[in-house]
Amino acid sequence: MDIKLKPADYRSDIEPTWCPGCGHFGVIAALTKAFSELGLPPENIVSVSGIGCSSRAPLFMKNYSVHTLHGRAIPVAVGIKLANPELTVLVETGDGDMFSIGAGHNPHAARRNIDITVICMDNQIYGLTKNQISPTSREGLYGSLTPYGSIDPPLNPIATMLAYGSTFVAQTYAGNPKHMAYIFEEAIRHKGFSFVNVLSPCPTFNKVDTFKYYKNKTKDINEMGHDPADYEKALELAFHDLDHYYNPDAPVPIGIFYKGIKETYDERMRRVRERYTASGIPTVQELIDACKPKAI
Amino acid sequence: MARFDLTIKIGGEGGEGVISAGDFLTEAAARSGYEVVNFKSFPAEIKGGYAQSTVRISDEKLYSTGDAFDILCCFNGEAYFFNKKHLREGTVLVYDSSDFEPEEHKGVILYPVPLSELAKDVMKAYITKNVIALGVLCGLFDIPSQSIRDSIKARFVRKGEEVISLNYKALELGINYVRENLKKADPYKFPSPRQPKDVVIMEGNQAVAKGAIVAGCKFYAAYPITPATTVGNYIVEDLIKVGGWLYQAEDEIASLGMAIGASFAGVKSMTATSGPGLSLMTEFLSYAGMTETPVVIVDVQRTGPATGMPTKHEQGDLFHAVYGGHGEIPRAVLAPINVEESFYLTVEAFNLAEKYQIPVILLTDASLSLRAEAFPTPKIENIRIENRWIYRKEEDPEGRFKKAGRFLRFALFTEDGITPVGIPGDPEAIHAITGLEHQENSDPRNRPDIRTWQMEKRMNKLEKLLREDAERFYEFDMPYSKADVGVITWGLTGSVTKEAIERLRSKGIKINALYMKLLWPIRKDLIEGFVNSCERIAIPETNWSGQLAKILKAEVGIDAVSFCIYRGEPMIPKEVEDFIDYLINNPEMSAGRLTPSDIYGEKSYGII
Repeated sequence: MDIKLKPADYRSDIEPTWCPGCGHFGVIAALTKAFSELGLPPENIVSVSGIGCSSRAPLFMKNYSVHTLHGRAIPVAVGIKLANPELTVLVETGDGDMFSIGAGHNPHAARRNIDITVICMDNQIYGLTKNQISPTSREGLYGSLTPYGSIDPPLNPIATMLAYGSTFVAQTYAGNPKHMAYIFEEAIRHKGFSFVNVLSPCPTFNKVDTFKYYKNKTKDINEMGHDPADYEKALELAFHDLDHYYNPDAPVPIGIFYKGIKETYDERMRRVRERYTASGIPTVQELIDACKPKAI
Repeated sequence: MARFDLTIKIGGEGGEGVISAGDFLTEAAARSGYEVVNFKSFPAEIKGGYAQSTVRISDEKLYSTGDAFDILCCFNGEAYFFNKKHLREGTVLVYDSSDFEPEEHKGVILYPVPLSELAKDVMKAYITKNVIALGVLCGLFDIPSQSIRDSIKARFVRKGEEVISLNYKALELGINYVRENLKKADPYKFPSPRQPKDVVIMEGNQAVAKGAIVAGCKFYAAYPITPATTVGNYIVEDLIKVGGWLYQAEDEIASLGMAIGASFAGVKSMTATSGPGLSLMTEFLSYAGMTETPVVIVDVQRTGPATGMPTKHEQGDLFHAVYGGHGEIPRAVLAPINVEESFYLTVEAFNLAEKYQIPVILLTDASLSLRAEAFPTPKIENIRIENRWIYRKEEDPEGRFKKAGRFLRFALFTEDGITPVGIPGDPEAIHAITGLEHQENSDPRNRPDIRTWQMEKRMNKLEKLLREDAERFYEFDMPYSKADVGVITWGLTGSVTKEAIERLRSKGIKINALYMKLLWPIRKDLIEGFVNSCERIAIPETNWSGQLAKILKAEVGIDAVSFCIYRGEPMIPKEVEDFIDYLINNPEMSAGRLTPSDIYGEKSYGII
């Protein structure tokens, strides 16, 4: 395709069902901008999601979309990618979908470096089920099942995904469209498993982690000199990712924590296949005939 | 009736080569042009525990490994202990006399051979014990030793000449031991070779793997689980050679999710599991039905519930396969009765999945998975392969499947409910799939009219399946216009029943039989036609509830007598025979449930 599509060309005619003021609007705006910048043909993009407010995102975009079950976007995305590695496969998910019910899938797609891009719209709350605390909710947050204020310490998405071996880990903020689009572009361009945590406020249920709260709090770690090739430094920075939960003056880091170069799973898969077919590809009949007992 | 019918059972400790000894005998029978069935079982432990391999050889088609053995070869005292109650007048016991001495058994022909001693002291290699035993069997029963040699060579070719010649020597040692020390006192003799047939030997799970390759499967995702894992073992290298891939998933939820993803990307895909895994897959089973995504799920049933007995047989997952899941979806459930059908029905599972865009469950079981059979070599040019209807713009000049620029993946205007799929990469068929109820262009909708129409679109696909693709999965054996008893069976119990029916008929009992290979959906008219040809209906199943009987009661409204065995072992032909005899002797019984205790007395678990 020679003519570059505009971001709007990647939008479907379905109007998003999100609440006014939801961070997720900005996410799909930035994502379609990234698609446009990268010149991706819509027919080669597959957006896979789970369940939750964030997981409706694929339906609002013009690309192949798979709206799966709660927590199950990553396995479906893996199946799609392995079946056709030529496709650009994205997972559009949320903090509950990815880090609670679907958390068991994260380490395996990450460590195997499956070449998919996972975008987690992290609003630190369950919105679609109307206000329950999520794995990334700060302590003390009120949810319908924790009317006393949450007593659970939050999970650190950045540190977790770094530890799992994700070869691209970044954080961005829904209030910064330019940074978001840049990070998405980098994440999609990255060969290998990429994880982007988007701080995407929920205006309806989370009255603490709001746009107002994040305003002037985010600090671009790359502008501050962090080299994404430095894994150990990335881990150190990641451990301070949730400092602002405990210290009102602490900055919220955004930017690329880590970007490493490692062979992708489908590249390894191809090498194994080449090894097996080096001396020719057998016919199916030959594979059946291999079960004959050899004659005396 | 067969002129020749010989059953050899080898028992010993897991890891002692019991299973490979049975495999070699199986190959010898096939090479000699005979029918052969081999049933193996081993313990859940990696090392140790009782393992056995039973090989039955005949000049006629075999349906099961029968009721009992003619020759028992015990590698240790434990194998003897487990089998001694089946020693009867005329049976042969070959045993390791360096390990144990048997009790007195009237009329049992004994051949003591110090197998362990010969292996340790003469061969200086204990691992050759099983091959020495094979030599003894060759010497005693005229089994063609050249065939055993061929099998040794094929098995050990990668281990080098030294290993091969060591095993050749062990074989000779066994043969010579017989010549020098034993005097033949039994009538059993391996038949002289006849023209070998063009056959393959496969195990149940291997047949599933080969069937999938023939069907065009290119993606297989699975999580390790006994007894389904070996489907993956058998398919992995074939799959890579034909350009596919096997992915070891993190759990069974992921396995089915991956298979669905691969199918969405246009690739035929499958997963195999056992009961506990099927439980985890059930949410995605529902999703596959809702999104009309073709996928094949193999459930190699094992004894449940919960972890149950992982290496043991049961037909306990039928309810789950047929009814399991939230909401209602179109699905098909197939179940082979033997290894050959495991091959062909796997191809059929893909065909149904592709044609109707539904999930298809293939139910096999732990015993069938380990059963080996020789059957005519499948010729792939004779095997019909179905592929899903893929949207092509040039085939849709009027743009019926496009509206306002959107692709109508779930269009409501096709008569049979089947609509073309769009494959990622095609700019003309961009669309979404969603587990939410949706309208023609995939957009989520809650409207009662759309809900009703989409539900009908999905579920009515089964009407077409029933019209076009059901009858061939009903195997009728109805020689009588009015039979005393009509037997309906499924799965491995079906092949056991075939043998029982031959015996009952030879006693003059009029029996019709129906072997159901398609357990869902159900052709009511075909069941009714069969039921009308019989005075009473008997349904033997290896589960507690009589699951098929209950399904047929619910769906067709027929009464039947269930015979339920749930000990973790398959039925044997004698038990089905006794069940039918019991019914003949109790003419008032036309519905209900029997267990072995009813037939054999208090607290019985059958006669195995």
